[in-house]
Amino acid sequence: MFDYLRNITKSAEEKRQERLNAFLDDALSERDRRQFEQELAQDPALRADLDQLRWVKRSVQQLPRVRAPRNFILDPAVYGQRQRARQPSWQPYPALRLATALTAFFFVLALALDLATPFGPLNVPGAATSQNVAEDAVSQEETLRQADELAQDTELDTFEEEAVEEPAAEEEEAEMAPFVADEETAVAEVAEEAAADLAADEELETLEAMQEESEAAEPAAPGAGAPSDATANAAEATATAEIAALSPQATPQPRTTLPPADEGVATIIVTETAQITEAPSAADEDGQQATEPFPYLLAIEIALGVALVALVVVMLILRRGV
Amino acid sequence: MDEPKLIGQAQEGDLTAYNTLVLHYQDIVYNVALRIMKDPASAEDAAQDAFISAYKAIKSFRGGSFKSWLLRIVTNTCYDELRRRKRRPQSSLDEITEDNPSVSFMADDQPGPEQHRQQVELVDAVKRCMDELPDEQRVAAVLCDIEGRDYQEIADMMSISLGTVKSRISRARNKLRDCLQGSRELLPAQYRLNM
Repeated sequence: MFDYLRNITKSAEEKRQERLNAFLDDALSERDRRQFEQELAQDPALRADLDQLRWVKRSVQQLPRVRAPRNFILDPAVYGQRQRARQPSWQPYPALRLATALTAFFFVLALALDLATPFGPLNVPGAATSQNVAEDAVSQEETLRQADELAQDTELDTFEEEAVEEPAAEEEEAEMAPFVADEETAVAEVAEEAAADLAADEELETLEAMQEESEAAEPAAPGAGAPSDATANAAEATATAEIAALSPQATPQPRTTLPPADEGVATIIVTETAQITEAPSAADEDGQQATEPFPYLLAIEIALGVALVALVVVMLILRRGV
Repeated sequence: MDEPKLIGQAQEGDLTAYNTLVLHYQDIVYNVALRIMKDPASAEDAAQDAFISAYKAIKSFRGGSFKSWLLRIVTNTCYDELRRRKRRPQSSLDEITEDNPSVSFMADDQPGPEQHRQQVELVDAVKRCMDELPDEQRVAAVLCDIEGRDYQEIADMMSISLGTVKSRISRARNKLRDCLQGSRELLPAQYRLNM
């Protein structure tokens, strides 16, 4: 294409010279060579030009060949080692590059997983929920402690009055019974509120059943027959309701270890308190494990980030050395 | 010399085999470099660079004429150096004259037979005229007239078309002829009469 365009722009003399040189170098096609030989036979000036060019060519060919002033062989100490060094059995750079890429991928994956949670990396729902659960448990514990104190005071008062004067005690107990029942009802309500925060519907039903028991004890309080029993039952029912509201697992234990004596009442209160104290931590752990899907995500992110930075630094050092 | 076997060994990293090939072709490579670069020091550098480049690229050699392959490499090496010099001009041999005392010792003042003297003068004139050619035309003339390569080989070596090769060789010879007209006493008698 370009040759064709170039031929168009060439003068006739240029084309003639090119044909002369091509003939001299035996670069013409068979047909062009025959045609040129016919022209050469008829044109003496063309023959003279050909002779001049032939002489020029011969003169250039007479330029002496010189020997190389030195050997150009390659030094084995340089090029032999380089050849061997090019193909080591294991190259650290590609492996490091792969490790860096994988670490970066997992780091980004962990970050994405972390950011995909609704409250961000620091306020993960699991942590928030466990914190709320802990707060709830503390408030419930306080409530229970208050309830226990109230129940204990009531029981102690009742036992003291019983020991001093039974008939008077009966009257006084009859008078006190409504207050005790009221206190028990208030404690039950507080416990119910605490239970409403955490417990399920089943627990609420249990609490209502216990409330009904305490209410049933209220009409019996004015009677002279069993005021202390009613008080003990009400306190027991309250504590049981509270325990049931907080921890369904801890509920059956106080009932099975309920002693009939007065010392037994104190024992059960202590036992219940200890169980209730343990219950929030157990609930906390359960809630944390249940709501936080990746408890070690932050640690993994930090480890991956540190590893990524270290790998990038090592890779850059190796790259500079390569 | 079993050239294909040596090439095969060199392709597998045998430097001794490659150096055998270097010893065999170094004169040819050096002469081409000398004609293109015009001075021995540059020709040495170009020849050495060409052999190093050839060793690095020997795995890409897919058969054919090893000599043509080497000539192509040395031609390209010289071309690259000439282009680099055009971008960053340096002191050339033109500056080195007989007035320069540092090179005056190179002048050969030994008298010889008349015929030999004329021959030497002719060679000097051809060299001078060759050196005055443009780089592209000089390379084409060297490959065609000195190395005896055909037009197609030259086109492949220089990565140009066949028509361009024809044009460059024609212009190079015409310029050489015109240049040699200035040294009429060196020309044969029949040519002197015609010019």
